[in-house]
Amino acid sequence: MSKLKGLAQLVQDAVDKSATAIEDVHLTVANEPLNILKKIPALKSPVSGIQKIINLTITSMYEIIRTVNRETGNMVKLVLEKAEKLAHDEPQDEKR
Amino acid sequence: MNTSGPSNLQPDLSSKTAFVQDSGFLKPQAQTSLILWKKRLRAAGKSLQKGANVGVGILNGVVGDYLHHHDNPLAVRMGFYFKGKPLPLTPDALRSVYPHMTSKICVIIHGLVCDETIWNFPGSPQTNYGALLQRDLGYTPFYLRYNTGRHISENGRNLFELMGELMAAFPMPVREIIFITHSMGGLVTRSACDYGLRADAAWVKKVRKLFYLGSPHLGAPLEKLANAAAFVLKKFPRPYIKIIGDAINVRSSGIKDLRFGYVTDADWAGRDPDLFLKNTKNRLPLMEGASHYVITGRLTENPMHPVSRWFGDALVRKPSALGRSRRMEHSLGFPPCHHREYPAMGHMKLAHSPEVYDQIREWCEQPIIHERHIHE
Repeated sequence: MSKLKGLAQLVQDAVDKSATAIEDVHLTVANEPLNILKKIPALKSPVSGIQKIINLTITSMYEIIRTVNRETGNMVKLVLEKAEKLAHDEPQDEKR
Repeated sequence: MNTSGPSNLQPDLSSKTAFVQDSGFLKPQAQTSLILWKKRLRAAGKSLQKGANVGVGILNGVVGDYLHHHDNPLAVRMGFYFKGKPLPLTPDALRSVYPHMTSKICVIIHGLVCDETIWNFPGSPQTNYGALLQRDLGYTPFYLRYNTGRHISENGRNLFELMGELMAAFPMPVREIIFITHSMGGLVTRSACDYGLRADAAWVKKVRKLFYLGSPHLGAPLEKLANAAAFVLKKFPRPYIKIIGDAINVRSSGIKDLRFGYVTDADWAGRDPDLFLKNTKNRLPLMEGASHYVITGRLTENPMHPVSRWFGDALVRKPSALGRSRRMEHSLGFPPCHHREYPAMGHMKLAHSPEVYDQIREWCEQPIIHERHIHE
């Protein structure tokens, strides 16, 4: 059971770190054309506004992934703890 | 009773089977079928456990240092194992496990991403070099399992301590210790002996012979390739290419130590492990007073074939296994008569081959040539 817990923890860490790494790439790639457009004085103000919206959308999306991952991890941990308790109690019940 | 989980299936089925058998509730045909299913489930459980152990070994090799630092239950703790279970180092436990123990100890150490089951001969899991040496020459075998993702020198330090504990718990005076090591295990052993020599440990003075089966004393080409690939990918100005380099660099410290065969803390401490093919290895000669033997494999029959010359046994090249470096200070100088190469034998097969055992046995039977004038 402890190995399953460890695996759940490892998968949760991997998803969290991967989401953060991909988020960085996503933000960099999305901002590249916008940063070029911002060099045109007439477009600077509207593009900055669009950039804020895009960045907020991207970070929110990855934050949702991280939150779902965290909550799923907590749920799995709870289920495993419950199963561990059941497995621990069962032999004692049998003895009785 | 909850029967939804697969883990609950087996006990439920067994109890029900017992009930229906006792009560005569089922027809004999159905009873046979149930018993058959129970056997199948047990076999599936065993193979699942075996698969899980292999998976844990691989995980530890790849990200073992991460698991260790995060106290993850998947991180393997170093110890001697017997029939898949940790062996408590107490005189009583040792006596019960080895009722016919002798004063000759054989320590058997696996390599990267493996555990002690790598030593088992295919199709005959009870047969391995340790069991055969016990049968033929009376050695008492101890099988080490450790987290291969940690630094080699960290594992070396742990092994040094563990050997001390083994000596303290061993119920009779130890006359002789030999080490049989595969791949990374050879480097861990050299590191442990170095710690032992510095601490003037009693067990080091008992070490008579060390066998290195495909140990990359000067590094492994695959790790050099990974280092170079990650370095180049991270130099690209595109973030989606850089991220591949980052992913490659996630590999464990143990793997990175295999780039040049780092065996001491000083080789890596305080240095960036991802520098481009930067060798910061310190000199560590073979331990004096003991005999060192090397066994290598090659992929082809012909020793001059370019495949064998370039790839060795697929993971370790011959010059690295023999410690033949262009930098004299890193050359290990194994005597030529202490080397044997096997044609058409890959890296992993070195750990469970009858031919390799015959050679180990022959060397074990030879009298000890080296005199221990440094330590005794």
